[in-house]
Amino acid sequence: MTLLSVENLRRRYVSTGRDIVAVENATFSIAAGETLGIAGASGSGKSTMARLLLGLMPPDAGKITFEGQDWLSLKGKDLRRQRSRMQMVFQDVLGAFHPTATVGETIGDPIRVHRTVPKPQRTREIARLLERVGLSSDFAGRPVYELSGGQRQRVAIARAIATRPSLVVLDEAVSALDVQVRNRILELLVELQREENMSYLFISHDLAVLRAVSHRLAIMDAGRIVETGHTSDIIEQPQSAAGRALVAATLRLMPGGRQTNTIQQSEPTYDI
Amino acid sequence: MNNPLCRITDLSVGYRDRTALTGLSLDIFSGERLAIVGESGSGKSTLARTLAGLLPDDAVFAGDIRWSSGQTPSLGRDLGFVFQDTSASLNPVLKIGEQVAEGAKRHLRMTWQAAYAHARNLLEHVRIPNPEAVMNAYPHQLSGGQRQRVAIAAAIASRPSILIADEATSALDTVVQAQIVALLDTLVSEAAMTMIFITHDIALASHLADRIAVFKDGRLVEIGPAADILSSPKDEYTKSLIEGHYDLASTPLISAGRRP
Repeated sequence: MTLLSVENLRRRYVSTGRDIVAVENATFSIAAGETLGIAGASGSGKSTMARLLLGLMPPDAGKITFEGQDWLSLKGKDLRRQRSRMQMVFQDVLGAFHPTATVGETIGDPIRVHRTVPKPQRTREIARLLERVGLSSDFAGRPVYELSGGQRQRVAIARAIATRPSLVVLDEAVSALDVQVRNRILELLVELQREENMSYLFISHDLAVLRAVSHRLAIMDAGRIVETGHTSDIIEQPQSAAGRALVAATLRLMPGGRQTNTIQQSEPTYDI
Repeated sequence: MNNPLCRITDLSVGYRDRTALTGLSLDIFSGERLAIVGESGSGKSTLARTLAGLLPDDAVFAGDIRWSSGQTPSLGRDLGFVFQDTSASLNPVLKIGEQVAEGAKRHLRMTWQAAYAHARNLLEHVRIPNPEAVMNAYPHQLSGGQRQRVAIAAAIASRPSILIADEATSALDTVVQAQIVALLDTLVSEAAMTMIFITHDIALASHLADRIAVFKDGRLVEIGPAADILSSPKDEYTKSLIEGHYDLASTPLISAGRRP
C-alpha cells in the first residue's frame, strides 16, 4: 500500500542573484512499512526534499499525497491532525530541542500539542516511550544538554514516535555519532519499524549506512532524482553517474593497509 | 627503526574541567604516515594540538615531547595543520591568493610577487580548477571541498616537513572525502612529508596509514603497523571499531532490497 506519493515536486531558491534549483521534477513513493533511502552529495537537494515533505517550506510546484490526502492543501484542524502522522529526526539534536528543557518535556511536547494521550496518563506514556528507545524512565527529569550524543538522538526518536506516526523523515540522523553509538541507533530504528510498521525516509550522504537500513534507494544529483530502485540493485549496478560516484567513494576497510589501497576518485567539479 | 623524529614520553594533558590525555608514550618516525584513530573524547585532537603548539593557555601539561632537531617545529613553517572546519584555517575576509601566499612570503622569505606565483602554483597543485579566478575569490564563494583544498594549499605553502590533518575530511560528503584523501596521499608522497592523520574512521586510516594508533578515553590502546592492527587487533576496543565499520559488503540490518 502506498503511504506517500510525490509527483513532480519543484523548489527553487534565489541565492546571490542566481536562480538555484534545489529540487526539480522529483517523483517517488514510499510503501507502508518501507524505508526509502535518499543518497546524494552535499547540495544535491536531499535536505530541501525533507523540508518540503515536512511542510517547513512550500514547493513551487508538484503534488504530495500522504495517507490518501492532498498534503499540500490541508488546513487548520485537518492539517494538525494529519501533521502528527509524519515526524522527523534531524542531525543536530541540540539545535532541534530547547536546550534547558528536560527530556520529559521534550518528549511530552508533541503529545500535549496533538492531545494523543489524556493528561493524567502522560507521565506514564513518557516513561513508556523512554523505555521503547532504550533509556530508563529516570531520564525524564534530566536536562537535554546533559545527555551524550547517542542519548540525545534516542530522545529525538522517542519524541518522533510519540504521536504514533506512519512516516518518519530522518535527515542525516546518525551522521554525527561515533560508530558504535550509530550502529545501536540504526538497530533501534529497524526494530521500531518492524514493531510499529512505520515507514522511513532516510536521508544520508553515506551509502553504507543507507544500504544497512533501506529497502529501496533514490539517488539525487543537482536537485533531481536520477535513479531509484531496490537497494541491492543500485549498489551492485548503479545506472547514473552520481550513483556510480557514491558507490566508488564508499571506503572499504582494507585489512592489508594502504599497500592494497584502491581509493576511487572522480574529477573535482568546478563551482565558482 | 631509526631514531624517532619525535619521542613523546608519559604525556598528560588536562583542560579546566577534564583530563584529555593520560600517560601517553609514543614515537613518531620521519617520513611515516601515522593515523591516530579514536572516537569523540578519545584525546586524539588534543594530541594533534599539543604537537602543533595549539593548546589553550590554561591547559595543564605534564610529560616530555622531544624532537630530534632539538627544537619544537614552528607551526606554519615546519609543520602544516589542516583542520576539520575550514573556518578555523581560512580567514573569511581575505582573498584566497593572499592567504596562501602569506605563509610562503613569511617563511620562505619570498617577495609578494614570488609568493603570489607560488600560491597560484599551489592551487593548481591541489587541483583547484581555474586557479587564477580562485586567487581573487573569498572562502565563502567556494564549496566545502574546494575550501579544504585551499586550506591544504595554505598548510603546505611553506614546504613543511610535517603535516597534521585533524579530521580533515569529516565534514565532507563521501565523494569529496575520497578526492581529498587521494590528494593528501599524493602530496605527502611527493614531498616525503611526515603525516599525522587524526580520524574517527578506521577505514579511512586503512587507506592512508603506515601505522595506526588507537586511542580511547585519553589513553593509547594499541599501536602498530596498519596491516597488523587491521587484520589481527589485540585489543577488544580495536576489534569493536573494525567490526562496527559499515561498508557496501557489510550485512544489512534488513532483508536487503526486498519490499516489506
